[in-house]
Amino acid sequence: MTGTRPCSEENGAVSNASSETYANLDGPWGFAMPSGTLEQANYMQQYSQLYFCRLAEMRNFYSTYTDITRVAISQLNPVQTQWVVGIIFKQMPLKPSILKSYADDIMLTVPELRLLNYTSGDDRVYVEDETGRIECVFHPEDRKHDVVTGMVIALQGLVGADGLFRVNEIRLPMHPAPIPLPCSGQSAKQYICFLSGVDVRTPAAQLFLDYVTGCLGADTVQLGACMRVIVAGNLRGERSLLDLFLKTLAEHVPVDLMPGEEDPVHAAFPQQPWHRLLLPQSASQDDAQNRLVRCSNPHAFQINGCLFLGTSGQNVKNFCRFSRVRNELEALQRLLECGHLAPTCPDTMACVPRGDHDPLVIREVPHVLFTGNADTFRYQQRVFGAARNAGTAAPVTLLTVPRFDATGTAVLLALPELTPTTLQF
Amino acid sequence: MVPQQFSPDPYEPNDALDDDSFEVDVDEAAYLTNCEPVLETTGGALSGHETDQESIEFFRRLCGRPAARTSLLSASESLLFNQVTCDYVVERHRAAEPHTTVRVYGVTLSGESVLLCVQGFAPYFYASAPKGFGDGALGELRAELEHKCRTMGRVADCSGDCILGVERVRRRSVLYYKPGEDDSEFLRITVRTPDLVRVAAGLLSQGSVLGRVFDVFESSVDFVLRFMIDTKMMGCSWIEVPAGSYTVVSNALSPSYAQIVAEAHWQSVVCHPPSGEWLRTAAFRILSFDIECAGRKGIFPEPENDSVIQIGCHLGEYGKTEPLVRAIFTLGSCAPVAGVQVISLNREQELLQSFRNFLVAADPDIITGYNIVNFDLPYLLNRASAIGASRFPYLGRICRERTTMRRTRLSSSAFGTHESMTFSIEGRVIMDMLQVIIRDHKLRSYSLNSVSSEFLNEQKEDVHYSIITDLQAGNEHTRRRLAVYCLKDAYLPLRLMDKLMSLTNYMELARVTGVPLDWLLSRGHMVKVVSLLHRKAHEADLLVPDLPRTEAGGRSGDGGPQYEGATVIEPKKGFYRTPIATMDFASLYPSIMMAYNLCYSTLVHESDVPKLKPDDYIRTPLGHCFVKPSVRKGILSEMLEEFLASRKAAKRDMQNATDPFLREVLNGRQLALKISANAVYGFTGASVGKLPCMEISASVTSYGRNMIELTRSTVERLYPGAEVIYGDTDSVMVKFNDHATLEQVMELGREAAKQLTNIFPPPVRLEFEKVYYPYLLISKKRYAGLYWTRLERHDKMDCKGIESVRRDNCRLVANVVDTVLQKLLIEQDVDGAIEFVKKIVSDLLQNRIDLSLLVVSKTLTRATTDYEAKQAHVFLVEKLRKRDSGSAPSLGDRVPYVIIKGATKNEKAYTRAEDPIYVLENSIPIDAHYYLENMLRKPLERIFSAVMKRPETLFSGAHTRSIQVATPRTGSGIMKFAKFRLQCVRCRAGINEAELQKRGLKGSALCEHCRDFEAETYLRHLKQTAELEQLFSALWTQCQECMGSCIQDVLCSNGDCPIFYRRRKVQKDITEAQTILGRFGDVW
Repeated sequence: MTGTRPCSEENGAVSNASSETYANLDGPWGFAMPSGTLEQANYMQQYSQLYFCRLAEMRNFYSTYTDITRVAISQLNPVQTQWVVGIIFKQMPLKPSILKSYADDIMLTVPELRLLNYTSGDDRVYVEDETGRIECVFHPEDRKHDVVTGMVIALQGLVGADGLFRVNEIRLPMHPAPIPLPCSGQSAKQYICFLSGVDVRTPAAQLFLDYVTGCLGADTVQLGACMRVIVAGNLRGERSLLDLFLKTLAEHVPVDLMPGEEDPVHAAFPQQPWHRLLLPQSASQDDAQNRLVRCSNPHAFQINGCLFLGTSGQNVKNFCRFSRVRNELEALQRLLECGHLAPTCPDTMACVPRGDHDPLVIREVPHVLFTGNADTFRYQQRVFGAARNAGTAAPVTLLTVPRFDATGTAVLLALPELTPTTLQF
Repeated sequence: MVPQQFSPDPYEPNDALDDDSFEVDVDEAAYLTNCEPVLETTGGALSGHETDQESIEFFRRLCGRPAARTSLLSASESLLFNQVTCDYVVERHRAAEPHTTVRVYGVTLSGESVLLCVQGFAPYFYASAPKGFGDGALGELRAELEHKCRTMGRVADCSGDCILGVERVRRRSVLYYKPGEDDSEFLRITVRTPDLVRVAAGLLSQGSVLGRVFDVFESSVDFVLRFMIDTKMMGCSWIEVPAGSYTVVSNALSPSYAQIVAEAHWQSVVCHPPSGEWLRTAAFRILSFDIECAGRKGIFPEPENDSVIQIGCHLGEYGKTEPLVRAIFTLGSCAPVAGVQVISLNREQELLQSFRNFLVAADPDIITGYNIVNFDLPYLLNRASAIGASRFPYLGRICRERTTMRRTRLSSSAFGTHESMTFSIEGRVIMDMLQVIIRDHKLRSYSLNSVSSEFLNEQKEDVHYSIITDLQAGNEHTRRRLAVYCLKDAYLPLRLMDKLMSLTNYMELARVTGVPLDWLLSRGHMVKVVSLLHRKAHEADLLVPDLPRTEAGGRSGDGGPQYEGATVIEPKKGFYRTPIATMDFASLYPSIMMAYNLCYSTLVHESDVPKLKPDDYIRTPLGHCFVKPSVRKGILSEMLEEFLASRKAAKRDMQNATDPFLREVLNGRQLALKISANAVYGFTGASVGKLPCMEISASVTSYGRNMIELTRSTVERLYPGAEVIYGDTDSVMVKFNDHATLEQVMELGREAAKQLTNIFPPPVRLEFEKVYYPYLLISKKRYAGLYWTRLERHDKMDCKGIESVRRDNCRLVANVVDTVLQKLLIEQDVDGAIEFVKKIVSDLLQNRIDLSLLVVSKTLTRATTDYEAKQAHVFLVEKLRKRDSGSAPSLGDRVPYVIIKGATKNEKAYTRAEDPIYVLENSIPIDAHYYLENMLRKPLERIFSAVMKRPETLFSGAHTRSIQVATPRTGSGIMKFAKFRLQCVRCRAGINEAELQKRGLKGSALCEHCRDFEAETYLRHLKQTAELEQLFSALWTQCQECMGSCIQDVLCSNGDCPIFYRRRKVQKDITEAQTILGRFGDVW
């Protein structure tokens, strides 16, 4: 931690890294609010507009399906099987309710019952568009747990005499595939390093730092090709130590710093970058060189034509609690399929009320979709949506980055193959 | 109970058939121009131009009853049905003698509606026959009575005799036991029509006939009740007319919308006593509805000016949880609602008429809703009259009888005085859930919001009527939004009825007391005992005297109407941490009446006492004499014994019943029996009642007092060291000793109850019921404790007479009191409770209590100028009207307010009431001291006086020193002139922005001296902001969930909901917090 970088200079890694093209897309994608707008984020408005924008935009995702003729929910008739496209609302008795906690006359704070999963057999699913809401019945019944509140999906079914909509088929948006990455002529591999949930006071964190600064001496080939470290949220330790950690790191390799739910930033999604006041040493790094980029969460960026999109994990965790999925990787896959980074915003996850558009809609399918602060490392490459039929499409890499403080694991992703390896500390 | 005419009846009696009057064109409200054409889905059949008959047929296909069986239509099967209600009509045909028909309405087991017209039952009453009243005198009396009746105006057009017969009968008066007199002679006078009873009885009792005064008997019995008594017909019972004894009126001639209209003679009507197989109930149809009106800004809707725009209906069937049909009638188009029949109409007359036709087709037996009696129904009738919808007010089961209303005042010792409307809707029972709940439950608020949150655990969206007009003026989707809201309001009363089992319980009450179902809600307690007393007397050939009012007062006057009530054993107040056994006398007052044979018929007049053998009578502690059962058994005792036996049987059957529905019925039955038994004592004591008898009621309470005293002395004698710490009306609380365990106390309690029962005459019985552990005894009728009946776990926390339910309190009081009780009783943590109260007091002084907890609301019941006493909410309304006359609350609105700090010290509290929203938005300081002194202090000191030495220390001391007051944004006094200047977020010093810039300092949150703490200060504010963001999200999404839509704006203005003010507050707080964060400069 001397602040010099002898190891990397020997390998010429810095010049390699600087030859890459990097673009931070947080602003253009609407995650990071330009200077001044956050303060103006209009909390005098309600969430209805956000839902409205989400529905209006995401409805178009279904226009590529030639077999879907959409009917307004109020126009459903009981004789025909019809398609509706609408926002899901899932009524869940187990869901924590602020009303219940207030309605109680007792003023003692009862510890809130926190469940790992809030789904139950008594959940009821509704689908809503501008014209109304109707309750859906699925067959088999458990299919209702495939959806969560806030998703915009297409449902085919028939209204019964009881006013219930019996769903035959669920359809998700058809996304255009990402552009295939150009085959790199370079023989030397390049890497992006992901980590999240770092406690800077631990030996493992110091080990990681030593590794990056080259003081460990091992595996310098990989290190030399490490173009960027993505810190996906939740840094622990005294703030001065954090600052120093980031400063040291950024002196050796460019860093994208994403905030997470435990970090000192706004709670509402999308979370805004760390404030410069809180990281006086590292934040004074030359921003123009992109040595330390204080990003938003979610974070989108592009490196050498490869598009990355990811979060520090709240959206995935929330999705897991309100649906039934096996693991976080599956949740990530569902999010991509449904075309929205965090459908449970605002229902069970705080988010900024907006009236212009919903920034969390996935408008462009990235090459890599990642989440931080997962329980375990998992990854998968698969082809999605419309691309599946087209045959020539590029796959998407899904990546769950585990908490560093729990697992001591960082993830290296090789470009352009997008194959991950893990580093244990 | 003097009915007043509500308004000069604007209706002519015969325009019912005048179809042209429907076409009267009334200037439609302006918003109709916005309406799209009527949706095609409702078809041409409902354009409103078809005849009522066609329209009714249309709705019958939608929701009519199943077709009537031919075996009934041809009268070839016995007609068996479940009675709903009863009325009578006097038919006056030209050139024919008028006769009285009793109309019994009901439903068969298979769901057909029935009207049975019963003929041949004539009204009658009795008069005492003077000694030696011969046949000649009898004839004379009859002739004179006939003559005088005829000249009394209303019967002038009566052809045939007014007096149908006068006969001599042998009976006894129910009042007094007269030694040596078994029965005596009475005259039974039969008249032609029910109104003649009163006329003839009046003449006889005033001495206008034969120049002598007759004592009259049973003339005040309502004719319908008379009929039901004589046929032994109970309310809601099963009635059978054998095949051959009735004729069916053909459809074309039918005077009624009932499917089967039959005629029979009264003697062929068989009434089944409601027990065994006759406990079942036919599938009564229940229609619940709610109307929406287009009010103008600031004015509560008035039927003369404001249209009815929607009517939501849920048609349910007794015993089914899901409604049969949901329908909404809308003015102007309305987008479809899943599972609901949407009937859109272009004109308001058509809207009303369609609803009326729907109602006739659905043919409900019960009509329900929330506050329909005093709002929806009068509004519809008045509105129909205002717009000339003359075919509308025919809502009953008799085709040509117009629905009218009257304002009535019901005074009852149990329910207080209420003004209310009564309606003539023949054959249907109006069961307004608001009235039911007011009668049966004591709540802080009776708004549909609070009632549903209390019983259904659901918050209800509340849309203010000024928004309703905007929704109506929008498009078919905004009207659909309104429709969904309206339907929910129509659905909730059905859910409440189901959840509270109101219909089941009231039907059982009707069956037990023999009173028609609708009387139970429209009349007081007494009618039940009147019915029972008359029924019992009728069986025993006893006659119930009609006491003139003055005499009734006089009778009680000699002993003084104020007799001593139940005394209590002076409470030894304190906080008992040892188990306290509680023993209760089971049905004490009824038991005393039975034990001592106290009755009208056993009371001995003082002058007759010497004629009795000393062994034949008893003298009560107050000195009244009653004969023993061996001489004559009192009919009240008999009645009570029957109740007791039936209740026992019902409870036994309930345990054996496997069918949950039957169990509910039996539970309703045992409750009804309990209520009825207790009403008997009240009846004898009601000084303005039908037959007050203070000798009975005062004797009952005096025995009661003695028994409580005797219990105390006996317990303390039998169990040395035991102490009766409190006793009230029918229960005593015993502390056996300081070290007994819960188990020991239960055992001791059981044993003591058994021993003590032996010292009282049967059936008086002392029962061990529960243990309070711990027990907080505050004062007379005020206590709280954990209630134990088993060893494993306490059943509940039981509170009596403690503030939490009072309506004029803010929620803070209830919450604090409940929390304190919880701490004291469940956690047994006295120090914790004290700390908690101190924290609340300190929070209040530091402005940290949520505003919604401080809101008090009151209903503006009269125009503000009509209030004499200055009241806070009235004063506030005046203030709001000056601020913005459009949005100020108006008559009938609930006015929420909080008390704010005054500009000067001596400002009266009522002038300091302010709109909570205004307070929030302008950060106006709350008067914390007012809340402490006027709201919290009394109830808390009362509770804590039992626990600690100086409860006043809760409100003084170190924790009250720190005071923080909001800085008002606008408004009063000096703030108007203050110039806005940036302050340092940390030290509040003034900030000179230009100076900061010159020195190259970013951001304007802090002054230059506080710059070292920039990060910490930022973090602190950031943390608050993040919490607010979470809160904002939680609150607003909760409202969306409750409202049932994500895409629509939340409109709810339900001030009773704990979220309402918090939701507004978080908006404001977060906006302010964002501004402060912004002053720290850009994140970059």
